[in-house]
Amino acid sequence: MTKAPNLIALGNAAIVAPAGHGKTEIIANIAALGRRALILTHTHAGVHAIRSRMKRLGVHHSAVAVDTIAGWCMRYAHAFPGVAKPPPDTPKTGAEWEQLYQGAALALQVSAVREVVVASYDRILIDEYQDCGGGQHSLAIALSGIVPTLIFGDPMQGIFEFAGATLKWDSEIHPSFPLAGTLNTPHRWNGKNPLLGEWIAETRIKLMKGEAIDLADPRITYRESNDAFDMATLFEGIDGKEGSFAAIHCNKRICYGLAKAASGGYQAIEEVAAGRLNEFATAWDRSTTAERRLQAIIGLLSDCFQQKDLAEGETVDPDEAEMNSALSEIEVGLGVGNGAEAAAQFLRLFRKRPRWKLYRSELWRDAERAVSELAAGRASTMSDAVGSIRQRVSNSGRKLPKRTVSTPLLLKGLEFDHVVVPDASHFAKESKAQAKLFYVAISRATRSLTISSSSRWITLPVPNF
Amino acid sequence: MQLRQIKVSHFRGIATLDWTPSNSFCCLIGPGDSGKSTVLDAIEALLSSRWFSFTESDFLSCDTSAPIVIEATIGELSRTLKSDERFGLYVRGWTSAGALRDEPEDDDEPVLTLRLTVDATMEPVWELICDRMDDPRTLSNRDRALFGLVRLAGEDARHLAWGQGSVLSRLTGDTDEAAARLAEAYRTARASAKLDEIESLANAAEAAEGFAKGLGAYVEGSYEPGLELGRSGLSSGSIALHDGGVPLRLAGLGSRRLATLAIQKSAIAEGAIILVDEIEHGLEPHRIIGAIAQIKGDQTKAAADNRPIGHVLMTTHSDVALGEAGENSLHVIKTTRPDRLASITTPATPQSFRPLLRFTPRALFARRILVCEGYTEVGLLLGLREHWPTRHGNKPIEQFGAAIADGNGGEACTMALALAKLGYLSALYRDSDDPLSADQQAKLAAAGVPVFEYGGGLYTELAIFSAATDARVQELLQHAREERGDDFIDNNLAAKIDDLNVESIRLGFDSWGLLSAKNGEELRVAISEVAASKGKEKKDKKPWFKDQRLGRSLAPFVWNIAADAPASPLAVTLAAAEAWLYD
Repeated sequence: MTKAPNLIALGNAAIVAPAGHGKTEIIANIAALGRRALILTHTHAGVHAIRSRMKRLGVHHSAVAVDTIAGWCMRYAHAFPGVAKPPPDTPKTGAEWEQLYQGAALALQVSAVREVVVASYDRILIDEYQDCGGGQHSLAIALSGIVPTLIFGDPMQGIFEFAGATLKWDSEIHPSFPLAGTLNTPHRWNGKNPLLGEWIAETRIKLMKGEAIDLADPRITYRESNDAFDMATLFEGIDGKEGSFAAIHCNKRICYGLAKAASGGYQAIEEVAAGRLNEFATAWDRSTTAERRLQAIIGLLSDCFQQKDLAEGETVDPDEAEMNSALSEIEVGLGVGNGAEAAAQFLRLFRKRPRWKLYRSELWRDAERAVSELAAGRASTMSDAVGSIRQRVSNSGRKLPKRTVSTPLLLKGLEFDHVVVPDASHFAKESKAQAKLFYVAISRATRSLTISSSSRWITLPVPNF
Repeated sequence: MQLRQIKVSHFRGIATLDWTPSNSFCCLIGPGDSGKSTVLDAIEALLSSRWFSFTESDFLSCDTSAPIVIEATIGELSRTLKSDERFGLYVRGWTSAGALRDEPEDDDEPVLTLRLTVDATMEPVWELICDRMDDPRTLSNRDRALFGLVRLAGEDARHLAWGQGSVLSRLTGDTDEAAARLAEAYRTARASAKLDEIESLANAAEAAEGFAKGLGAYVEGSYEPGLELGRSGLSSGSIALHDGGVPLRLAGLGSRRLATLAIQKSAIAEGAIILVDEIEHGLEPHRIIGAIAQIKGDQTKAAADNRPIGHVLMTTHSDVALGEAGENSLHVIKTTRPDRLASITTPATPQSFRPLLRFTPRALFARRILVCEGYTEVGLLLGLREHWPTRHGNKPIEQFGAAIADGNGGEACTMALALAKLGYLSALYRDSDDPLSADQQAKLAAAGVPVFEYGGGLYTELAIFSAATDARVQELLQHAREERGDDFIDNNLAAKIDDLNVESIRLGFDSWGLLSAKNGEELRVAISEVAASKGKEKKDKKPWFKDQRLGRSLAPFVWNIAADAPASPLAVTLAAAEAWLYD
């Protein structure tokens, strides 16, 4: 049932794809069968992932168009602005995004626009459907009235409930996209750790029913601990392990805390919105004196570096003293011109301080790049510089550190050889989507999964679908 | 692809043209220098993938201070054009009422607007126009090739060989093998290239033969690829279509043109826009009819199969072509002087032209058309026409762009009106026995259509006999007897005139007055009634002069009668018609 040629015969349909079950592969295979398919997903990272998979499978680029739902709607809504009435610029608020999606759906009511869609695509595939909101769903319905549309998603990975992705599968999605089947081959763990894949699949079923999960299962590693900051959970046994690592916790402050406590052994990564970087840019742009600018840098510094205490009997390293005086000299330059040249030197030099451990390297690196943009005169304010740096990241995708600590929201869609979940009991304290968050966290792991918790049994509320 | 709207400004002899074709088969007619070819040239310059080099003479009055702008809105778009990879997001809307909207709404047809601009730099710029996009999109020659334009002009042998970019090479697909074989052929001292053994070339040739036969090209043997030597160097262009061993380039003009058209047309799968200059060029009438019937038939079939119909624009000076094209395809182009505003008009009521296209389609190539009521009148005027030049510096009416048309009796009035609406100068020449209604008179007056009639209830025969002296009456009777036979004429007359028998009638008209109670005038009425078969049932009608030849044979007599009685209604009416034709 879930082979590409069968799926293509279905017309409009929904395919449930649990994590790691070969969904992207199937999407690529279906796309390769037709004249030209449109694949829509939610993030630029998703677009990159699908494009590179297409390339690997040798699907000719003219046979498939890959875009984000937002990007596609921007294109169509602005091509037919009279009927779509899109917001003038890139939408900023939820309401503006909704206006964009509804507008694109309205444009699809015009017969000439429908003809364009028919001429452009013979198949539409929408990925990560569980992340769709109401406006995106109306758009999908409008598209499915023109060209056969297949949607792919996993109700168990619908963790954007807080952001309005609360479509009900049975009452809202399936009437337009009847359920065609669920992918049931856990490809992700083949040749790596099939037993782990099995445990994750079993756990998925139990989570859907709200059943208790036994963490003391031989297929995973369980540590009894009620402390999220128990470093043993993070580091025990990693010496013998190859590959990528991720520690996953729902609370981003705790993630930063973990990164700090691990002295950069795990790096925290930044949200797409890059709140802290923008905060730095705003503080910088408001400052006109060397002193205020230094404050802005110091503020950022304290969120990126952990200073190691001096061990007993240790004296100040002569290198460190030299570094201090060099930094002091640079500080003077912060008051010269826009101060960016000095700031660039300051940030670069600070990385080299031996007793200071960087634990938010992405944030620090982006700050360095932004400061350089400003120093080179390619941006007029720090906020502009930050905007263009983040745009670049969003377009080209980011490279993850070897060991990452972050939230299920940020790590969704990625996979890691080894995953650690510190203090699993915290999932029960989340206000929404507890079971889904837990499933997303555990299903990132391909080779080993370590979970610490105060109790070997964990029970989470039945999730909303 | 179909043309929905064409705008031309400042191009050659046209200052402005704004035309919205309403038919997928348009036959453009108009007097010489009215802009027919300029319209086709404009469309070709805009939509052809070829590069055009413009010179000063392409600008109106060679004035390069204002740019040449040619704009067309194209509908019935192919899938490729509508795809968002190409121009899908640039589509505009063509409303069911035939108006253009920049952004499509409701059920508007998606259309694309192209514009070619040439300014004093002579650098042509092709763009896609869409007001809601910030910048117009420049079109490459590849882009323009997607609009599927085919032009058959003059003598173009390009498409009869496998040259680069030729239609034949497109039909063939891959010509690498041919290139290799050519090199080999060159090496073996241009020995037999055995091109017919290359399957792809042979297949393309066979396909071309099929298309060409479909349009009515004569095929002597069969089409095959052959080498045309004697050119500098050897390239794929040296392979040309041969028919029974002879290069098709050397076939008759008509066959060559039909083959070219067929081959070009076949290469465009989705509704080509076909421009044909003077379709009749090199073709006998039956082949003109065959070719037009085939092109129209292809369109009808495409419509029935729900395939793209495409658009055919042809010009012609052939009444055979016009008659076959039919009244619905009739498009009359006119360019005013001196301001050179061009317009293309179609009949509001095409059915009014059906009789004209059946009997005298050639009249439509004139500027000034005298619509005659029936055979007798057409014949009479055509005969008199030979006498007129002596009075007009030896010039025939044709030199004044005038023509005489058959109005098919009762339809003459509507026809004259319809012609006036199309922009022709038209006039009506008719009997007065069946007066025009007040409504008809008002319409004719409003349209400025003069009516030439005898007045006083006179019909042609009566007008003639009434004006004739006894001797002329006798001449006419004698003429009628020669045409119809003595018995027929004399029995007819005897039956009509009670107190004259056949013997008396044969005595001669000047003696009738002595034998009959009727006076000369009454006798003339009687003869006229017999000659026109007045008052008879339709089946018994046997009028003497009711056909074009007989009507025409009256002319020498009428010429003399009118000369004898210049004040007679006959003479006055004919003089008025003559004056109008020579105006």
